[in-house]
Amino acid sequence: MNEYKVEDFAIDTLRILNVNELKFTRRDSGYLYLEYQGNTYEEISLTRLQPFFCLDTYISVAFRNDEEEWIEIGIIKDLKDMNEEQRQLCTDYLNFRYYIPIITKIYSIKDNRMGYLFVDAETTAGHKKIAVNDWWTNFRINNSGILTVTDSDGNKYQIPDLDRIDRSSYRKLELFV
Amino acid sequence: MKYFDTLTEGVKEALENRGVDTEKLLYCLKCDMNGEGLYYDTYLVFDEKSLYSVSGYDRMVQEKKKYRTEFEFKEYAEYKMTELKELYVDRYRHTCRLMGKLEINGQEAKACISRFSSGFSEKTEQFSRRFNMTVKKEEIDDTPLAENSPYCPKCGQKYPDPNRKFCPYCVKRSSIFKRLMGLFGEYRAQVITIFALMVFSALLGVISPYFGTAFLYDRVLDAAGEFYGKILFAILMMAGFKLVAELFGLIYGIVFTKANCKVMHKLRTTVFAAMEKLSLPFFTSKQTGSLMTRVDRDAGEVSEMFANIMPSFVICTIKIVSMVLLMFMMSPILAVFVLAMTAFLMFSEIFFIKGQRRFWRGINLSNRKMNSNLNDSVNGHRVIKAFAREEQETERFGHNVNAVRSAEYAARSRGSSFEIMQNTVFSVGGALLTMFGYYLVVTGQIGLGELMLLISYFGMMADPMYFLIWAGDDISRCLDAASRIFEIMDSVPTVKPPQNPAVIGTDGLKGDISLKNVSFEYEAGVPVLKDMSLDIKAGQFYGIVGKTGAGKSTLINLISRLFDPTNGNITIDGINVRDIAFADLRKNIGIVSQETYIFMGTVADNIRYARPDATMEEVVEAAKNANAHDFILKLPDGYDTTIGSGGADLSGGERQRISIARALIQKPNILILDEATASMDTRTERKIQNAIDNLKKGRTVIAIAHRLSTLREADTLCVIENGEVKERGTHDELIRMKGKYFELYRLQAEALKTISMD
Repeated sequence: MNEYKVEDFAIDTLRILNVNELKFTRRDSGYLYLEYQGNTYEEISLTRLQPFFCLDTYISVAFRNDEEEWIEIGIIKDLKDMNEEQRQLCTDYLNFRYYIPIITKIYSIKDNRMGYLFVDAETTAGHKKIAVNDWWTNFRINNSGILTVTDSDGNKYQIPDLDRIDRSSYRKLELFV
Repeated sequence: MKYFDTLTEGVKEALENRGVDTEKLLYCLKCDMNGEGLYYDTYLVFDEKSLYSVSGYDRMVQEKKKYRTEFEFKEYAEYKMTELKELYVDRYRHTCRLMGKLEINGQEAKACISRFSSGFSEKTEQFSRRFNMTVKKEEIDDTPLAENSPYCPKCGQKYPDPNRKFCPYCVKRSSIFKRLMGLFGEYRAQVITIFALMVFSALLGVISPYFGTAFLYDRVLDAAGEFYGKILFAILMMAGFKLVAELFGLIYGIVFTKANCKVMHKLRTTVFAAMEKLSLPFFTSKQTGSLMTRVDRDAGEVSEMFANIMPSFVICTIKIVSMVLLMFMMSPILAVFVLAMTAFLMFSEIFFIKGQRRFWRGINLSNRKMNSNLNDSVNGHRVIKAFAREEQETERFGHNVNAVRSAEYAARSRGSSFEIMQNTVFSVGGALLTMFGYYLVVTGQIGLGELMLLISYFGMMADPMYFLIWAGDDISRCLDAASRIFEIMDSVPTVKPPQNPAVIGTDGLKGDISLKNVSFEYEAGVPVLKDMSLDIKAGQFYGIVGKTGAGKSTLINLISRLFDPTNGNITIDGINVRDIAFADLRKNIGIVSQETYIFMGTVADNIRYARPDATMEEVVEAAKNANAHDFILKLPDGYDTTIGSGGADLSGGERQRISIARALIQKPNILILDEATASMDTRTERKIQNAIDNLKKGRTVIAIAHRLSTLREADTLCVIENGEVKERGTHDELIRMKGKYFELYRLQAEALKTISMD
């Protein structure tokens, strides 16, 4: 049996990445490629640590290893510390990764149709009739007033600020939030 | 082409215009987004040569009373199988991409074929798998798809919830009502009795004021009256009517209470029995609270419909019609006045209630938040105390209580204002009616007694009117409750019992278990097992190793058919588990799960749970084998100690030992141990290990454990990671292989060494 190595039991620590050494490249397939401190990573994933509250800060950078596991390389503290081109690349990737249709208007909500709620809404992706089962669970509002609606297929929609949606839509919604 | 989506005429035409033979297409998939994330209809189809993509917009066009789909063509693409080697799903937070691995002129590349919302990922995975199998010329089995169609067989519409085979479009409220009445068919006699009693009571209610007003003033006290001076007679008439009304009320109360209890009992047992027949996914996809509500509150609301709303509806109608008729007979002008006043009060009530609903919903929501907070604080009191967060928790609760107070204050102050306004209108209306009525009495157009009767009717009109105004809502609420109950009764278990179960001999199943290309996901788009294949020989001790969340317990759930795989097959002794009757399967498979559940009852009842006919000797034997006997004897009432909800507290290890005894008493041919000894100390674990070693003889044992030392003796060990089998072999083979298992084993051994060194 091999000898005990200290790193086998090493405690994971926070590793803030030096943004000046990060060099992301976008492949035609849409995947990100990274060069960092002499290492190259073929498939990169960027994850917001706080997707609701911090969109441009605390971004985890991970790569996919040969065993298809995501291994974290480190964390970017603030995207604004990067140069313009790199920041844009990361922002585009994050916007794609976290893309969610935003509800901009609610035309009607039909309640209690045999246990379903049918929301006829306009979203940033287009017009949609959303079937929601068990609205108590699937209309989730967090402390910042972001409402996330999950339909019965598992698709998600969002209203980022309930106070900014038009009054008529709000009156239809307020019975459920 | 049956799966996965229907190829519309417009898309078919677009394909045929480009030389595609649509007859030869194998599968069709519809995706819902373009690269920018806008809704866009992309149809993907493939035959044995190519994958075709047609994009555009589906538009619903109304023709007379029917709708048809028209397709607005935008884009077309073709990928030849000689170049497109594999499809896979690339997942993001709320959307996914269907990616293709291409090989063009010896160069490998990846390309995005389509984009879609994450709810489409399960069928896209299945579509991709079938495409990949077609590329590799492998045989495809679509049987599992046929059993889980997401479309309503009646109207062809997709179910709003694919896990809930319930189509709201095909359910008519009138049919729910009819069905509800069918459910109460056996109580027809009671319904008729209640109905008759209520009609009598309604008529008496309308007639009885007559004796205290028109009869008394115009016929007894008036010198011209036919019963002038017969006051005792008048009093007896009034008392007699009152007595008869009370008697009817008493009989009605007795019949109603009996019938209501019977109806409630029937509804609750029917719903509970229907629920118990459903598969595990039904329970995991719903909150426990919501299910308990169905058995309790929904059943209550439905019985309310039968016992109260329907008869009251009839009574109120009779009361109003008879009062209106009598009023018009006495004085049409006063009758119109009474009706106008009542109508005004009713409309103002409707207006008020509509606005008030928002406030009531506010109270409901804030109460739910407060109760959740209370629940958190009571159940999490240890953590709260350990972190000294009492003050913060008190503040949080105070905040929630304040929200309830504000909501209630807003609702009640609005309600009080309305009540004052309504009472004022009622008083002013009554005064006007009296003044105008006295004028008519003085001018001889109406008798004093008749006026008194009219004034009584003015007061009596309100209640039945209110009831009729809101009866629609009450009926609607009851029908909704009924539809939820019928949904459970109509739900088809997702894990269906076989229609023609295989015949299992008296010796039961031997335990040759085989998994072929098994995939599974609990949540759309999150695969837990991926294309897994493995063979477990009868009589083998088979160990499954892997990190938390690797899919080990899911594998067990599939073998014991608590869930069905989304793809692939599982066989035991060569028989597909889908063809084995549940009773045979459960009899032959004993599971000791990491989640132990103790039912309310005695220790002996809990051990006997799977075999209620087991003798006391067998119970004690199983308890001894599970090393539970000693601690059971220390309980206040030994094997008769009540445990579970409201009973004696057991530690995690004690619960697990009861759970092991419960599995052992079944004497199953296949024993599954899912972290069965995780909550035990090393000595107890060793003892149980010995007991399990004894039980291994002649049995197939599948064991999952984090502590690899407990699996060292396994005939075969299988390492699972991210839902895939990474390694398999004996302990020695895997150690020699120096792979995942070796790594895990070494880490555990070194960790133990470190602890002992400390």
